[in-house]
Amino acid sequence: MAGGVVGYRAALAAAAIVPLVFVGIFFAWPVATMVGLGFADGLGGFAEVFARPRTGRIIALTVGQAGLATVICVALGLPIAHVLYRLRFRGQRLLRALIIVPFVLPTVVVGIAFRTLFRGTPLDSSFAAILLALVFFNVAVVVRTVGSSWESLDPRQEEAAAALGASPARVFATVTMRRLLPSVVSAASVVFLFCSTAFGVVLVLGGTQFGTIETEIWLLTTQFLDLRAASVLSVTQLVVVVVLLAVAARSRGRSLAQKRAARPRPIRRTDAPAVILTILTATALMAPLATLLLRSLEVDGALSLHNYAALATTGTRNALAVPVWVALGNSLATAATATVTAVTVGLLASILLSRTPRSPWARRALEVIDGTLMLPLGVSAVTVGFGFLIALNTPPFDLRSSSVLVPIAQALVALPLVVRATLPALRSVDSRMRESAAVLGASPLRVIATIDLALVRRPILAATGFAFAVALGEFGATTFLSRADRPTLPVVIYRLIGVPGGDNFGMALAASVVLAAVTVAVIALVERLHDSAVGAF
Amino acid sequence: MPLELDQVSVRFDDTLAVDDVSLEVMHGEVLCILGPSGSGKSTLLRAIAGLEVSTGSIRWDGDDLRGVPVHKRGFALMFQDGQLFPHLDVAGNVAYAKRGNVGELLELVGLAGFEKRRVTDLSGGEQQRVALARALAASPRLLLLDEPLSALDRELRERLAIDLRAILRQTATTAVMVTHDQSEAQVVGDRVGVMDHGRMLQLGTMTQLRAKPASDRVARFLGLA
Repeated sequence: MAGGVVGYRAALAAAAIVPLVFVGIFFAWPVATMVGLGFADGLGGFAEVFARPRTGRIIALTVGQAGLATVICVALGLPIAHVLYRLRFRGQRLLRALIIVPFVLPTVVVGIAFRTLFRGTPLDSSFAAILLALVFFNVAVVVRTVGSSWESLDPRQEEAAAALGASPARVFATVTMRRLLPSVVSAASVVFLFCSTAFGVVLVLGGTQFGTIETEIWLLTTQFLDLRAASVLSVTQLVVVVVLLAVAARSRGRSLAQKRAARPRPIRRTDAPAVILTILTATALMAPLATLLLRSLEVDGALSLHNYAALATTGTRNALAVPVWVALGNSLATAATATVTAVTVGLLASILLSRTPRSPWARRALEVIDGTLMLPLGVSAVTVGFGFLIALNTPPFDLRSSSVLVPIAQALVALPLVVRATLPALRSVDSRMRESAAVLGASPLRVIATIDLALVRRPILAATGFAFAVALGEFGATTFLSRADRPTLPVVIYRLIGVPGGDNFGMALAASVVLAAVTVAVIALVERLHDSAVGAF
Repeated sequence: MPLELDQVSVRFDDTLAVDDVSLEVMHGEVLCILGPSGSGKSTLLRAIAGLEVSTGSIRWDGDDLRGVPVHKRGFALMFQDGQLFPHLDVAGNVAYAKRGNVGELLELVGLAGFEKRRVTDLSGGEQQRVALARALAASPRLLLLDEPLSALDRELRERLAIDLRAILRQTATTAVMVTHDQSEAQVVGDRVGVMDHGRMLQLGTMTQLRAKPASDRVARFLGLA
């Protein structure tokens, strides 16, 4: 018996080491190196960077943009979550898919879609356009997170309140909202996080006029070579991210366990405003994508496949080092490597985190690991890419010119999403089932293989598809790390809009459509298996 | 007649959960609906509360309640597990309906001085007492009780059944209570209706039912066969 316990602990320790080493080398170390750079001359660097008027403006813009976008996302997301998760009606699955799709689209594609949509209008490259694009991405986060919590609320509390004479508005305010609050706070902090660290979409839409801390870090590093200022901003961002993630994690922890889930009910007349809002939102979300598709098929006002044919070339004035199709091949290969890495590391981490050890010390350690693994979600991809460049540049890890950096960075970005998609499923496995298997003579490894992994096969497949989509569209870190002769598709698309003239913009549209189509196909495949690839936060 | 149900049915997709039930309840009367789980008794109660869509007619003092939303019916509903609001203290829960005196109500249910206690710290029996006080605070025209004692252990259940009977009598509350326990029905109810498979098999005082069960099924359920 004692041998069994020791073996089990050894297996868990082994499961713990891989993710910790991975995150340690490829996340903590680069980020720490960068933090060190910011503190190179004590707090002097901070004082100097914060004294710049531009820094203040960028921080105000970042917070303003993210704050407004978060408010809009929550205001839209609540009624939509109600419609998609508490009611049932024909066409609901389609509506859900339409609302969720934007979240998985590559940021560069969305940036280009919004530019195409607003081209020639005052909204082109405006603050409003950036705001709309941020809302476009993140409504899904609120809908998914609040919706899955709403779905599992025991309806009898509301019924009890209504039977005591409370009007629907009072029931919502005093009972429903109180119970939804943790999930709303969690979703809002994650949305704020995503918005304030948004990179690709802001870079494409904002030009030089608008930006976030994230685009500023990129600008300082690549254009002005002001590494110290870049790292001061990265450190600032890191602090904000840690605080927000702590808020989100606390709210998740406070969600009350529910005994009985609601039975979705048919639509009533009073649901009409919310249903109409949902349909309008879904339609509005499709508008940029439809415009993108139509414009990609248009040359000089006529329907044409010319832009797609040009994907076999390197663009007007040789804008690219390789034809677009080759870049797509690079993207697929890189994303595949990144996915295998992220899923392996993420699963090991999830298996570890799903245990509830008896010792309070071990439980505390697991909480810290859980939090650490979420960090890459919020720490900007640009910071990660930048950190790689400065940290993995000296022995023993002189990987700077190596092509493994890109998939590793992409895996790091996808890792928190894999954990969030698989961990809830693993946690819901009744531990008595594992104990029964062990009592029947199964070794710890066999328990993991035949109980845990077997029961959560679908979430794992879904997480795999989602990780692949994320890696495919990753832009922030990749743009720092990809070698000129091996660019990925998002990098190529950004390059195409940077070299104006000739076929280049049209090619960027066509390439965006191709990238979006591949991403949506991957997600559609896993959504068929499981409808919650986008984990709830 | 205060509460009148005439040929009430509730359909879930392809099952008939409540099948053509008619009954009447008088002022100050407590009717217990007795039946095994899945007999449709809770669904019938929810239909009276307005939480399920039903066919047939449900009338209060002659007025048809069709289309009257839950919160305008002036009924109160108490669930098996209380469904107290965990974010409010005892007083906050009892005062939710904004009527009645909290202190008096707590005294009535035997919890004098519990105002500031957190509901999550109470025992199961205490929670049900708070839920009862909360329901009574609304001064409901009709109190609906859905297995209010079933989550408690036997000894406590017997004691609370007697208390419940006394409180309902003292406040002259008209009530419909659903239970699967025939001794509970006997203690609390003035009359008892036996339900199975969505149908009301027999209605009457427990003495009448015992003396003359309408069918073998009723007899078996009353423990006579």
